[in-house]
Amino acid sequence: MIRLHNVSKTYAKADVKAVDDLSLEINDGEIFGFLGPNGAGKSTTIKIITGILTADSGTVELNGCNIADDPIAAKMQIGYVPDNHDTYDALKGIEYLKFIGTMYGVGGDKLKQRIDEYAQMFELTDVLSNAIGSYSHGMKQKLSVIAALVHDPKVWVLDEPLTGLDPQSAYRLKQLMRQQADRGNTVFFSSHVIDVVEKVCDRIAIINKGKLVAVDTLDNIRNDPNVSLESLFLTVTADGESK
Amino acid sequence: MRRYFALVRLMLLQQYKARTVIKTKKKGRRAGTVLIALLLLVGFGPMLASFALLSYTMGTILQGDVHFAALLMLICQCLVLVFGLHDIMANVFLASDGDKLLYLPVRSPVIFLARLTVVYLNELITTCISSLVLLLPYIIGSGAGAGAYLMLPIAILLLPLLPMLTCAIICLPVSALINLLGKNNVLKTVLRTILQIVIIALVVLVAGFTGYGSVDLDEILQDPTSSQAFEGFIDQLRHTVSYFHSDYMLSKGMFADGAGQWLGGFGASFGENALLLSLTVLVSLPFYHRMLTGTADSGRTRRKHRTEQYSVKPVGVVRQFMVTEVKRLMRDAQKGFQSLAGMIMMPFIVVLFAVMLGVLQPGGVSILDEFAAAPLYNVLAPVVIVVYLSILGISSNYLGIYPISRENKTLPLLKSLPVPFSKILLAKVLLATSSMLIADFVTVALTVALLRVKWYWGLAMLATMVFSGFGSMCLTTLRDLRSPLLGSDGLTRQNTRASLSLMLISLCVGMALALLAAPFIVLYALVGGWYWTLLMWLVEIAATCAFAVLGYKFMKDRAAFYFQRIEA
Repeated sequence: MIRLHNVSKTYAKADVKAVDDLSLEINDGEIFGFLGPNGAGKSTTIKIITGILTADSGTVELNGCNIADDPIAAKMQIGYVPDNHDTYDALKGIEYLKFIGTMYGVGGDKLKQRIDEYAQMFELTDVLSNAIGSYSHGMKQKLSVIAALVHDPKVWVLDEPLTGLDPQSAYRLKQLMRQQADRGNTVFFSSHVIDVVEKVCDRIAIINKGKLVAVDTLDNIRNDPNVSLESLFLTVTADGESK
Repeated sequence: MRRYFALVRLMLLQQYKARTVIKTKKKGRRAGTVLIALLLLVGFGPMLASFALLSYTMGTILQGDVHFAALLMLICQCLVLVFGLHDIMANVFLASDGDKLLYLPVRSPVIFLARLTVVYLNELITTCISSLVLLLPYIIGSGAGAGAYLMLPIAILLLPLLPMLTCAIICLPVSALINLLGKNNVLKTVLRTILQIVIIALVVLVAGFTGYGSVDLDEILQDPTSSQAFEGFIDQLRHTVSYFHSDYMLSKGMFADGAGQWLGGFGASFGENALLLSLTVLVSLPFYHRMLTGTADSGRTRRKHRTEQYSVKPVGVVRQFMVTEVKRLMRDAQKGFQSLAGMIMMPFIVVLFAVMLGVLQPGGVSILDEFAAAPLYNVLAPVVIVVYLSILGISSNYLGIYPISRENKTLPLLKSLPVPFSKILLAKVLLATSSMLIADFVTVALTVALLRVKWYWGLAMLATMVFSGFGSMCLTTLRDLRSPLLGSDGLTRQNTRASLSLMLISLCVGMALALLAAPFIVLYALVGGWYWTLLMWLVEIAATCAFAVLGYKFMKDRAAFYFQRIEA
């Protein structure tokens, strides 16, 4: 479970709040979609959840563990797939996965088994011994997904995970997200692809200019089943603009 | 030309506008910078003043001898190479933003020229300072006319060109060849460092070539005002400076009797530098596009699909960090080169000292022979060397200067890991200390071997250097944690404030070491007795050890807080 309570954040060299009094609760066994236009505060929220950024006010709890009070225990529960692919380009894929495994306290046969399983799933086995710098955008994305899963996290946080993936890999990733949720884990992901959110998510939230403008199940959000999520998204975020 | 200027502007912005991403109050930063600059001026002032005074005295003695003026120009150019070679190599040949430039409708020689221009502007600062300290007092001392003063700004503008362009002409084909060596990045890094050593060796040869070591000290001490004492030296210079013809012509113009000679000297020097620039651009034509493409490739074309067996052994977090860091550094063209090149900087200075003191002069009595014969030599020389290298050593320990800025765009990954920052810090500090230990050991070994310092004082030097280096490194690491520079595409030149802070730390350490040693040296000179030297080193070692312990504690107590507030 992820619980955000009145979280606000203003960057050092900015005057406006990137995240403004955000409160959210994402349950176990749920796939939660986080929508919003560019610069709405999606990545900032995710960085606060994963402990990369510190919130100016408010609290973030991961399965009851406050990330400000016990960051190590909280981070141990997270598998994080970042939106950019700035990773250790000089390392080989396998070296990077071993590094991540060590950091999360996973080693030996268990780590090898998971690397083999996921590398095979994403067809990355043959290139694991190559430098990450030689990978394509999609391959780096797949490597990030594998790295986020090697320690079998309770909470999976993905920032724009489908960008750059080929259709097969995107399909497998969506399957994996569903599997994680079915096992009782929490999946939190941001995306611009409304179709995917519509098909995969149990609940969604829409954020605009740092403020939460909608959060509920898809059915509840659009009272009229004939209204598409896309048109709803455009309406809600346009309201935010006009305000 | 518009594209060229746009590129230069872009590169300068990339260098000087890297982000400082911390949550902090902005007030007072400018005042702090001014204060540090003033402290530096006070600290380095006497040293610069003594150089200026020496130059002025030479001017009064030699009365505007053009050969000596050319030698001063050559020294300014050697300084450009010694302090700027990293920049020239890293920004011109190892820049990793090829993929962002190659798709632009700009020819590769224009990119090359833009990069050279940016490096030139950086090196101009070195030349400006060295010229004002060395050339201007010489002109004043020699009582030269307005022509010399008019020529000075021209000299400042022209002087960085010779070392930069010569370096480019040597490095272009060699770097292109190194790029062809396949995907072993570690081997490439080692070869690039060897290339730098070769270039530096050339500088050492030039220094030895000028005949410093053959100066007859006894004769000068007997009659310092007599120009006869310098005759042998000037004779040697006459032969040497003629090989650096553009400097010689510039110098002739500077001390010309009439406007014709002035214009002739200026024209010849300008023309020769222009010719050198043309030659550099000509050499860049076949090589630079290939080099740029090479940096953008990142070995992607050589990616092999193969299933390899691997094993996963449990490793400790700190060890895993260190191993990963070494791999990342050594496989990265810029960072690997910076790390290795930084390690050879101090040993190089010792070799340069040795050459300057005439160790490599064939036959005759060298300056070092004269110095080493004095009883005070083995008390004073190790201290002078330790103080000098302490000032220099901090900036050459690349691993210890920017441990956080070096993470650059991967810092969010580091912050997301479930590892206490103390372990990350420990790994970084251990790694930087290891590289520093190697550099210190080689430096001391060379000092003992070449500069005739007794081996037991060498051991004391090593302990002092290691402890003071460690303490300083803790402070530089903390400084980087306080205001890291992130988001740059290539090797970022540290902003003015960071550079000033580094210089201030090194200056304070150097001055503290000198102040601690001073009373013991005086007592030794007055009273005599080996125990003063022993006592001096015991005090130095104890003080630097305390500095190292306190520095580490100071850093450890604050590091996690600063790391947390970085907005990656």
